[in-house]
Amino acid sequence: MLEGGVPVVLSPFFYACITNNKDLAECVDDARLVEGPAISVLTIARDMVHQGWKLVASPLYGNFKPAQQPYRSLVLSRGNENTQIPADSYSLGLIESAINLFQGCEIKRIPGDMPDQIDRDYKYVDLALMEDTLLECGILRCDLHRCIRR
Amino acid sequence: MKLELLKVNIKGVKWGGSTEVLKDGTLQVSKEDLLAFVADDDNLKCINADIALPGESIRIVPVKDVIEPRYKIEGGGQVFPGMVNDVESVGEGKTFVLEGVAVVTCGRIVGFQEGIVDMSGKGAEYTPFSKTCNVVLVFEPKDGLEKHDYEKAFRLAGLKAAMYLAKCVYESGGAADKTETYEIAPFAESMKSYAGLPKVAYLYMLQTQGLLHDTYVYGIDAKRILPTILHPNETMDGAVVSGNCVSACDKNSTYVHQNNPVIRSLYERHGKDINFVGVIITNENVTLADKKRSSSFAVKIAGMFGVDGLVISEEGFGNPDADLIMNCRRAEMAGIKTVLITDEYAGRDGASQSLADAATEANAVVTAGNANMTVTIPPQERIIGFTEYVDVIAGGFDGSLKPDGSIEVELQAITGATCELGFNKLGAETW
Amino acid sequence: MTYRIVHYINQFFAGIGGEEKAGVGPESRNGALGPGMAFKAVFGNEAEIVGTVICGDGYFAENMDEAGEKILKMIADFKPDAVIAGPAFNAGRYGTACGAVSEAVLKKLGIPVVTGMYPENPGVDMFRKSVYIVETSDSARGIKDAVPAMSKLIMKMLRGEPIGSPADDGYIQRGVRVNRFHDKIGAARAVDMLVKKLKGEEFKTEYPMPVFDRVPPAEPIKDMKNAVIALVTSGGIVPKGNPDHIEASSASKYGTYSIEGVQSADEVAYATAHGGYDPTYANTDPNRVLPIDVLREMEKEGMFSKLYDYFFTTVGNGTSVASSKKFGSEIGERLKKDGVDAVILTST
Repeated sequence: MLEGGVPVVLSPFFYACITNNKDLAECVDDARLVEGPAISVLTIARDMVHQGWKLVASPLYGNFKPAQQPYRSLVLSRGNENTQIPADSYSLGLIESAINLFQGCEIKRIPGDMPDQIDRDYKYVDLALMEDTLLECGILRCDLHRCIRR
Repeated sequence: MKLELLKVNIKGVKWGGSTEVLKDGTLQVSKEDLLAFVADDDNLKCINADIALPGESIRIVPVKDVIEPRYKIEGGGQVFPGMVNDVESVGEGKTFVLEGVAVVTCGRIVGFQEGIVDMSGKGAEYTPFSKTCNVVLVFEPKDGLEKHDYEKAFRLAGLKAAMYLAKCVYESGGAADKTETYEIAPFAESMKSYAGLPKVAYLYMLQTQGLLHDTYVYGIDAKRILPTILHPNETMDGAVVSGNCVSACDKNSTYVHQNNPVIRSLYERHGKDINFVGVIITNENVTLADKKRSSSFAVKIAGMFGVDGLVISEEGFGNPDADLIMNCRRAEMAGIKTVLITDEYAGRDGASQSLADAATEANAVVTAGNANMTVTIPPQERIIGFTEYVDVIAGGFDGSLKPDGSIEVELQAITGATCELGFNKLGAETW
Repeated sequence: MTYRIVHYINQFFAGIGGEEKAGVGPESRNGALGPGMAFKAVFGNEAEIVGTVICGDGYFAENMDEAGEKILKMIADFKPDAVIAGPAFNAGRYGTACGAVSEAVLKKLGIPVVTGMYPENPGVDMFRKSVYIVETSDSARGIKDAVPAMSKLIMKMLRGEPIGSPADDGYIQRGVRVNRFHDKIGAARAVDMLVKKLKGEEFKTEYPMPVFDRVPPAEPIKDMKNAVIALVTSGGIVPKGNPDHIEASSASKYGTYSIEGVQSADEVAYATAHGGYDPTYANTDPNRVLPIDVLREMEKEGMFSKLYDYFFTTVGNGTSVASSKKFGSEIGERLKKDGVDAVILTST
């Protein structure tokens, strides 16, 4: 399903998905599921940026305050898994300032601390907002609607 | 392109046997006909239609969209093209407008959705929709309806209702109280007009992040567009509509797209201080590649017009701050002077950094206020909609709902409170 | 009712003495004293200065934690309704002390507190977010304006009246964003602003962007073998005796000292003037902060051509950004003039 002409560019890039959203992890190839709050996802991604990975999408959601949304999923890419690549300064700047924002938050939401119905919806929206990015990177395993309709 | 808005000044709304404007300026609506017209039995069960007037002790929550009733009576296309009408281009001819009325759609798509419109009390001071006579439609989905489909059905129902009201009034012989004319000449002419006045365009950023965060242009999901040019008049006929459900304070409802105050303000100064040449729409996507592409492309268009200045308005907050700053920096570097309109998330105490991004080039910023500021809004006698999740909505927090029914919320929960199109008088300053 | 107010001042305003008496510890006296008399006159019957707590600026700077606790206890013993501190005008250490005392009063005693300073006082940058600092002139001559302004603000707080804008209530901007309604809608304000900007007229942004003073890093040294290296520190290492009297905190100057022929920053000739960290380790072996010994070895090995003949030193403890910038530019100019290729900056 390539609506709007979104190209599926696979090689020569490697993609990694870091998430604390179990529902999303189940729909994505080789997702790394993190136990813990959104900031743990950011911290892992920051370490990966230092190792040569680049952010594919912004580490901040639009219209959700940091830590208002308990779930966070990030996609990173790199050209070659085995060579030394210097850290991408743009990605590093973004992820560092995102971590600062999350740390400065007054409300800290963690997965599962809200009524079930709302928790489910947060997971769902996290996945829905990542849909295009995951598709573009070619790592969305199954049809999104089937994934999230459950 | 010339568009005339024929405006009927509506002073009240009431239910009645037919839909028409009464002699005293009250809009009478046939509830039965309205509900029949918007019915979408495959997807929606409309459980309520209600009226909320300015000053009444009524709370509407959660509000999804607000739409002004309009109907085209002359010129190509019809209002909300590509949504509830054909995709023919709009913005020319005559459009019939019920001024002072709004269709408000209300209902939950997700559990944490916010959007409070209070018709009286402290909350009413912050939402522009406490001043309109509101026809409220409260929806619930058919069981098992997927959220994307529900959002769409919900969105279309509101647009249909708005068009229907204007159409009925027009067809029943309603007469306009005033006519406003909006006209900008074709490029070949406008580029040479007003020698000596600086050429100005409007860079109109649309929220396009995904479900609950989308905006549509002629029916196209704006995250799939490359930045493009609109004639300002097209927005007045509903070429841009909201599919946006979160961050009530700074999502642009369809109403503010139809009545875009930046476009109105630029028109007011057109030919006097500036030469307003057009509108460039761009999106706020999530991937960094999309952000760069759109920003680069939008500024390129501005450069092709040879504009001297740009007003840039943001929608929402968070990663769109990066788009806003990127647009500003690229434009300033291309020698185009910019003014930005945004709102702030400076924390409840106002001490945190307001935006997620910053640049020294952004030296002219208008703010629509700090969305984290809290207000305590008193209980209202009547609730239209659902309140049980106020504690977890975007601007609310644990303990928001007080035993006496008042709610302590951040402005973020109040529909349109910090509209980044600059719809309101609210601002912020450093103390 | 008459509100009970405690006044905090330094040794100078208490009439104990100048810099030579800066080392006196905290003490408490009944009633008003020094500038407190001026406050007393303004308060009339509404409020009374029940006590004055005094501490030497030097003592406070060097024993912040201990002095702070003592002072707080002395203040609390008067059972005050509010506290005023200073005004400190442009006195750096006094300003820092007033700021620290005010902050502690606010946090631990939870009663209203007001202080006063000149905007460039380093205490302003450190404490304006947490306490209300009334803007004063740079010297004690400004006392006649400072007292009524501070009194007005503290009385407002005591009466529970809302605090107005910095312009209305005379305090230094705290950097807090506050909402307010304008006469015009945002879009009209934006177009007004753009018209002004296009005409080259003056305009005022409604949201000043935070300024990050980023200095682009210099190009790496390509030819290390022929490089001249200098040492610059904010760790306060000075020739023993601190010949230029660099302050233990809020330094107003830096020192330039020759190390020509010096092989090691040994404990006989060097010590730290810094008041913001435990000096034991720095004083036992000052090379720990100013590594002359290691650099001399490297110089001998030929890793670089020469260790520059002077080192520059100051105390980074509470020193204002403006002063630091000034020191940095001056030091940089000198280093450039003398053909230094690279600098090792050490801090603590």
